[in-house]
Amino acid sequence: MKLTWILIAAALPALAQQPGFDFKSLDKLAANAKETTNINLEGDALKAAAGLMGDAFRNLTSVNVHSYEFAKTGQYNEQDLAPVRTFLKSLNWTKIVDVKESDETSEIYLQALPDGKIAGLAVLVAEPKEVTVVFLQGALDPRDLKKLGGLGIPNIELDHGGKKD
Amino acid sequence: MNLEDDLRRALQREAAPPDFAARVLARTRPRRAFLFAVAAAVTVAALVPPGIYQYRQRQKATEARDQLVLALSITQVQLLHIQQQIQHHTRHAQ
Amino acid sequence: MRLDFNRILADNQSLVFSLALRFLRDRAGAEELAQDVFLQLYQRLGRIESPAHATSWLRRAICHRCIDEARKRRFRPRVALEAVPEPSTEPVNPDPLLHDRLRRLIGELPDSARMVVLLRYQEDLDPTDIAGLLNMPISTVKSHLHRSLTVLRGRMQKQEICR
Repeated sequence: MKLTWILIAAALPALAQQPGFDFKSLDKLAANAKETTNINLEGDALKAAAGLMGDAFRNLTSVNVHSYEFAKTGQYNEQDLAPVRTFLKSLNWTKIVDVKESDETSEIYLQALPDGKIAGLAVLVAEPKEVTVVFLQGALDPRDLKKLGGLGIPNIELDHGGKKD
Repeated sequence: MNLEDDLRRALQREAAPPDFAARVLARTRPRRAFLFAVAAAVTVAALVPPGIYQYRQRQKATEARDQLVLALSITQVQLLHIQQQIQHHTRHAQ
Repeated sequence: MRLDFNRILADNQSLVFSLALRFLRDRAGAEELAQDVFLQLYQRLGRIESPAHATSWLRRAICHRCIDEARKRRFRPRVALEAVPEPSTEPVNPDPLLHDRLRRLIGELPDSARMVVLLRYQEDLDPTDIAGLLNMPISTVKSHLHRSLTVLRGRMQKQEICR
């Protein structure tokens, strides 16, 4: 089974003042990976991209996706992702989902605004052979994720602690 | 279903028709080749790139959009995966 | 030294024809484009350095010609898929209907995504090579693959439910 870490964080513009996650702390993962995907979008490039997708993602200020695929299991360990959890904890993100299976861990963290919008969204899914870390910064309404359906991306319900929105 | 294996099998190369090579060779006669080359040269000469700057800007935005869609696509897939895990655990807890 | 065109033709005709056929879903159109591409190669044969170079050149040429042709066809009525005869050299497989369904679904993908899928799964090229061949960023190639597989998977499952 694939091992995938995905960390998605969307922070309010006010929170953009806070230091971003330092992806160099995940360089150990890249060293052992057979294939990596690194996407870093911000500033004008992100604005232009979001502009082509309608209003849903206009408030994003930064998008970082780093994915590492390994040839076999055992080529990384939990400690390699400690910097991510430490970072989230230091900014007081709330863990709303925590699912553990024998060889897989899935976590979702939220940083919510009083008006119901999400200031930050972090998702960590750990599978045996793949690690992906995604940060989205910028105000994001979870219902906007459904607007991706027209692009062939499955619609999902974002669960808060296992309960539907 | 292993989709990727099925795709490889479904997309195994289709053999060209038995007389394909013969028809290509027949078209390589000098007279036809010359006319073909002239037609190609005229077509290339007629091309004028309009609004090249706007085109490049649009191209960059499209490339950035594709990256954004990939990032969001990965996000969606994993959130769906987590949702399925939760549903699985919920069913078993009942 | 000028290469042996006959040999290049023999070695690559299935590659070129098959890519065109799978992309256009039009046998006559695929033959025509495939012939054109070989003729172009013939005229440039003096500049082709090796058989591998010829293969690479042909692959690139047929990809771009197919995409151009697809653009032109958007303004013309398309050949109905029902009019395309099933290939007579269908490899033996446990589920011929599955493969036929997959090919039809691939035919419904957008042009660029369809070509990326064909290069990946017919030609077994990796994303880096596909990106170079199509003059496309690697992330775009991966995006096309990821989304196309998601779409194909979803549509295959949907068809299974409806059967």
